[in-house]
Amino acid sequence: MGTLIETVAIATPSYNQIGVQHNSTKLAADAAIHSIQKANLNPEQIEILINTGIYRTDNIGEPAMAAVIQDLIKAHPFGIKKKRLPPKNQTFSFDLMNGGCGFINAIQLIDGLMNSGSLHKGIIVTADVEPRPGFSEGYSFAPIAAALILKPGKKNQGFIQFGSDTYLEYKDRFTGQLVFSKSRQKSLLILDQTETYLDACIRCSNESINKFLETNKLNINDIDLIIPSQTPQGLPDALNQISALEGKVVIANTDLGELHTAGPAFALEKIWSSQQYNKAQNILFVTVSAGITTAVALYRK
Amino acid sequence: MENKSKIESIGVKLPERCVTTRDIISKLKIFNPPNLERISGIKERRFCAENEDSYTLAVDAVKDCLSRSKYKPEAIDMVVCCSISRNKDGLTTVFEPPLSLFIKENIGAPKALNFDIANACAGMLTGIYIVDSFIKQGIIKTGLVVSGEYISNLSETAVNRIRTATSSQLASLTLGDAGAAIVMEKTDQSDSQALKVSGFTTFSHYNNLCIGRQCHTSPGGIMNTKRRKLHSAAILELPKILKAALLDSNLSFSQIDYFIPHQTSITAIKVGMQKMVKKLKGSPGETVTNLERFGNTASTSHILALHRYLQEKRIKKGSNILMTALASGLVIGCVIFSIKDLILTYGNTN
Repeated sequence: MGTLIETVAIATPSYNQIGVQHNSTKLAADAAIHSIQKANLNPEQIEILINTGIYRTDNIGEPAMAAVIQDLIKAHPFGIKKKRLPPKNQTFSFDLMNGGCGFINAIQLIDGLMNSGSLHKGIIVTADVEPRPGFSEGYSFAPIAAALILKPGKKNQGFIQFGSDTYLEYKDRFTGQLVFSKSRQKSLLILDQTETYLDACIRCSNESINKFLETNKLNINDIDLIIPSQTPQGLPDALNQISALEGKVVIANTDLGELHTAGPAFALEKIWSSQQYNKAQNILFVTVSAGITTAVALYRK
Repeated sequence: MENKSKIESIGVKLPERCVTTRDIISKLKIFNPPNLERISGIKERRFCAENEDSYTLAVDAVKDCLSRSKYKPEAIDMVVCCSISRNKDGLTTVFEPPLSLFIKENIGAPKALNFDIANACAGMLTGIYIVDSFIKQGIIKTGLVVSGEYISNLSETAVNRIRTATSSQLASLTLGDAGAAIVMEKTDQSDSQALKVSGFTTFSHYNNLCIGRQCHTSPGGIMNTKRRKLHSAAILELPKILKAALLDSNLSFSQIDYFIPHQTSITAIKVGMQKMVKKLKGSPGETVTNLERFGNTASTSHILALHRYLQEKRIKKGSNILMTALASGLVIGCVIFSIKDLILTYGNTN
C-alpha cells in the first residue's frame, strides 16, 4: 500500500517588504488551511501534523512550531465542532528538521503509519522566514509555506519507494547557524554557502537518482517527471541539463527569493493542474540538503 | 509475524559540574526568593563545562549506550536527534546540517538515515514513536534515539532577569544538563518486551503555556512558563490519555510497576499522581522521581531516570514500565514495556 497526495497548497505573504518580519506559523497555517479546504476536510480529521520548516519567527525552540500551527488550523481536541474528540481521534504534531530532505523523511514516516493502519489523514507543512530581519547574514530564502495532505492509497499507488544517502565529505559546504556576536551583542543567524556547494549538490543528486533507480530495478525512461529541491539556486536547471533527465525536471521560480524547504511542494503545486502532471505516471521526488544528504521517493499515480 | 520494536540499550551522559539550588537562589536579585528546593525537590543539577554542549552530551550518551549494546555503530540504521537545544561548539545553535548528521559521523554510523525532531520535553519519546514506526514497517532493524540538552544557560539567563518570586522564568531555575540515548531494535509480537507506543496527542490550544527561544541580546536561551496553568492542563488531559494507553496494553494502572513521568518538580508530580490515582482507580508500584540530584533535564529526563534505577539495580525483571511525556505544546504520550534484557545490560542477573 502506498500513500497518496490528496492536495497540495502554498501560501505567500500579502506583502514582501525588505526588513519586514513574516510570521512562520501564520504562513504555514495559511497553506495548511488552504490544503484542508481543497481536500474538503475538517481540520479535526487530521491525525498527524509534521512541520519540516527550519527558519522560524524569533527562533522559537519550544513548543514545536507544529503545535502552534495545529492550534491555528483548529486541529485540536475540540475541533471545529466545539465537542471534545475521543483520544484516538486527536492530533499529534511535531517538527522534523533535515533541510530540504525533511519533506521526504516526513512523507516516509506518514507512509509507514498509514501502512500500519494507525493513520488515515496526515499533513506536512513547511515554512521558512527570516527569524529576525536585520539580524542575519546570507539569508536569501523566500517567505513561502507549503502544505501537503496525505491519505492511504492502493497497492503500488502513491509513494511506494524511498531512498536516502549522505555525502559527509561535503558537510561544510552549506551551514546555517545561530551565533552570538560579541561585537554587536546580538544573536545572528549566519548562512554560509560555499561556491562549490551547487556542484556538489548536482553530483550527489544525480548519483542518488541513479542509485535509487538501480536499487529499485527501474530505468530513467520509466520516470515521467522529476520534482527536485529548488535550492541551491540553479540545481533544478542543472539537473535538467543532464541528458538522461532533460525535459523531466520541474523548475519553479518566484520573485520572493530562493525556495528552501517548501521547494518541492511549491513545484508540485505549480504543475498540479498541468497536462504534464496529468500525463505523468511515475514521478520522482529528489531532495537535497546540507550534509550533503539526499532523499529520493517514487510516486506512482 | 508482525514486527515490533524494543529498547535494546540505553546510555546517558552527565556533566561533572554540580550546581546546587542554594547556589542559584543566592544569585537571584530579589528580596524574598522562593524556597525552590522545597517546592521542586531539586537539591542540585549538572551544568556543562566550557568544552561541553548539546552535541558532546549527545555523542557521549551514545557512546555509553553502545558500550552496553550488542550493536556496533555501523549497524545502526537510523539516528534521530531529539534535543530542544541544538548547540554545538558552545552556544552556537545548529540548524543545517542537522545535529543528527554530526552525531552519526562522530559515532561511526555514516550510512544511517538521520534527521532532527523537535517536540519540547516530549522529544525522546517522540523519537521512540518515530523509530518504532520505521522498525514496525521493516524499513530499519535498529534505530538510535538521542538527545543532548545544554539548557543550563536558560537558568543563567533567568538568574539575571528574575525580579519577583512569581516570575514566569522561575521554572528555568530547575533545569539541568544531560545527554541520553537509546538503541531500539526489531523484535516480534510474541516478545513481552515489545513497546506499546500510544496516546501521542498534542493539545495545541495550550501551546502558549511554555515558550522557549534564543535570547536576542545575550548568548543562550530564555524560557517563560505559566506554571500553574500548564500543571492544571496536564492534570486535566493526562488521565484520559493514560486510560486509553493502558487499555491498549491490556494493563491497569496498578499493574504498572514503575511509572516514569516527565521530571519537573516533586510537588507537581505528587499532586498530579494523587489525581491520576483517583481517576484511574489504582496506583503504580512506584512513581520514579529523579529530581533531587539532576533537576529537570528536558527531553532526556525519562531515560536518565530509567538509567539511574537500572544502574542502582532497583528494577526487577519482568516489571512493567510506563513512561509518560508531558511537554510544551501540550504534548502527552505513553510508552509502555516490560523490562527484561535491558536489566542484563547493567550487569543485574537477579
